[in-house]
Amino acid sequence: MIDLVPLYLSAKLALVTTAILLVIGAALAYPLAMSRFAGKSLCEAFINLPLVLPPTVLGFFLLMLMGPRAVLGRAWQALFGSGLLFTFTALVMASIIYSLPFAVQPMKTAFTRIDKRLIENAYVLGLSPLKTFFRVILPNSLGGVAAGAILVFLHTLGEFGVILMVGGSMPGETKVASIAIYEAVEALRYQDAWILSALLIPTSYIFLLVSYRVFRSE
Amino acid sequence: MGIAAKIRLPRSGFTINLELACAPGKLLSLVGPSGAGKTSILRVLAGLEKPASGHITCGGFTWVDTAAGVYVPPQKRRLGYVFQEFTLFPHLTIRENAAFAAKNRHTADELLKRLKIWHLRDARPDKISGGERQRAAICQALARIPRALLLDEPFSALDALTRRNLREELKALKTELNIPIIHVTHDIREALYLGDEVLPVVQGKAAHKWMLQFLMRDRLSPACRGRIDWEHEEELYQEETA
Repeated sequence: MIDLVPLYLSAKLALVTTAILLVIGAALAYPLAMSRFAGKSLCEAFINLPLVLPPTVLGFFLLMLMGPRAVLGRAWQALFGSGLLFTFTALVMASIIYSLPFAVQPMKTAFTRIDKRLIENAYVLGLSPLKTFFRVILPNSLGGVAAGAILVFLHTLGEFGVILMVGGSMPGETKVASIAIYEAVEALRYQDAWILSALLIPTSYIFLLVSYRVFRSE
Repeated sequence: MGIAAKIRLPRSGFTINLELACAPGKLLSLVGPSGAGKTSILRVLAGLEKPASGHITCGGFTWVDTAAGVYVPPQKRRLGYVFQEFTLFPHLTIRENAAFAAKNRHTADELLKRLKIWHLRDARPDKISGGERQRAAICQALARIPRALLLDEPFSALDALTRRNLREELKALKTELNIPIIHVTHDIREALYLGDEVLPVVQGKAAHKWMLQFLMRDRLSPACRGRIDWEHEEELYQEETA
C-alpha cells in the first residue's frame, strides 16, 4: 500500500505557505508598486533572488542559519525549547523565502495597474490609506492576488532542493511528495514513484490552467 | 462661510501664485489653457498636493496654514471632488458608488433620483455612458454632504448635447446646494455660463486683459494667427503680471 502522507504534507505546506505569503506578499508588493524610495531596486533584486539562485544554494544558507549553533536556530531553541532544523516549521520558513517572488510579482503588477485617481478619490472621500487598500485597491487587484496565490501554491508543491536541505526526509514531518518520489526512485520502487507523480501532474496542471485564465481575464 | 485660499506652488516652468475666494452658493470658474496649473490648484485645495506656502480656509476651518504648520489631510476636509476623467470605483454598482462615503444611504439614493440615474443604480460604471458616469460621480461627491465642491473639467470628455444638459443641471443644483463650488475649465464659454465669478489663470497666475488672446490662441485661423506677435504679447503679459 502506497504511503499518501507525503502528498498530504505537500498540500499542507503549500496551503500554509500560500496563506502566509498572501499577507507578506501584499505588504511588500504595495510599497514597491506605489512608492518611490531609496534602495527600491536593491529591495526588488533581493526579493527576486530565489528566482535565479540554485535551490541548493538557498537551502544551504538556510541550513546554516537554522542550525543549532546558528543565530536563528539558537533563538528558536531559546524561545520554544526545541530545534528548528528538520521540522515542518523550517519547511514553511524556507518555502516562504523560496516562493516570495511568485507572490510579490503578480501582486505588484496588479497594484501598479490601479488608476491612481481611484486612490485619490478614495482619500478625498475620507478613506484612510489602510481602508483604501481593503475597499478599493484589493477588490480591483483580485486577479493578480489570485494569480500570485496559485503560483505560490504550485511552486511550493514542486519544491525539492531547499526542502531537502532544511527538512531532510522525516516521515510524517518533512517528507513531502517531491522527496518521497526521489526516495522511491532511489530505492527502485518505481510503482510508488509513478503513482505519486501521476497524482501531482493533473493537480499542478489544473491550478496552472486556472492561473492562466485569471491572468488573461486581467 | 466660503472657501478662501492663497497658494504658492512651484511647477516645472512656472510657479503657481494665486489668491481665490468663493462664497457659499456661488460658483467660481477657473479658466485657462491646458497646462496653466488649474488642476494643480484644485489638487492643493483637495489636499492631494501640498503648497510650498500659503493658507486655505473653508467654512471656518483652516485646512492649510504653512506659516503655522497647519495641514489637514484630504480625508478630513470633507469636500466633493469630481475629477476630469471618470473615477467611479469599477467593482461597485452606481448605487454603491454613490453611497461609498455617504452620511446615509437615503441621501445617496435621493441624489441618484435627482440626477436622473436611479434606473441605472444596479449597473457597473463600465456599462453606462460617459454623461451618466459623470452624473454618478457628482452624486458620489455630493452624498458626503461636502463643505465645498470641486469640479475639474467635468464635461470635457462628453459630447456637446450631454455637456449642455449637464451644465443646465449643475446650474440648477448650484443654488440648492449652498456650498462654494470651484470649477475648472479651458472653455471660456462654459466658464462664463456657469461661473458667478470667472478667474482666468495663465501659468499659475491670475491673468487679466491678455487672457482672451491666450485662450483663443489655439482656435484662431492660421491667417489671423500669423498677424499676432505672440511672443511680444506674452512679454507684455509677463511685464503686467510681474
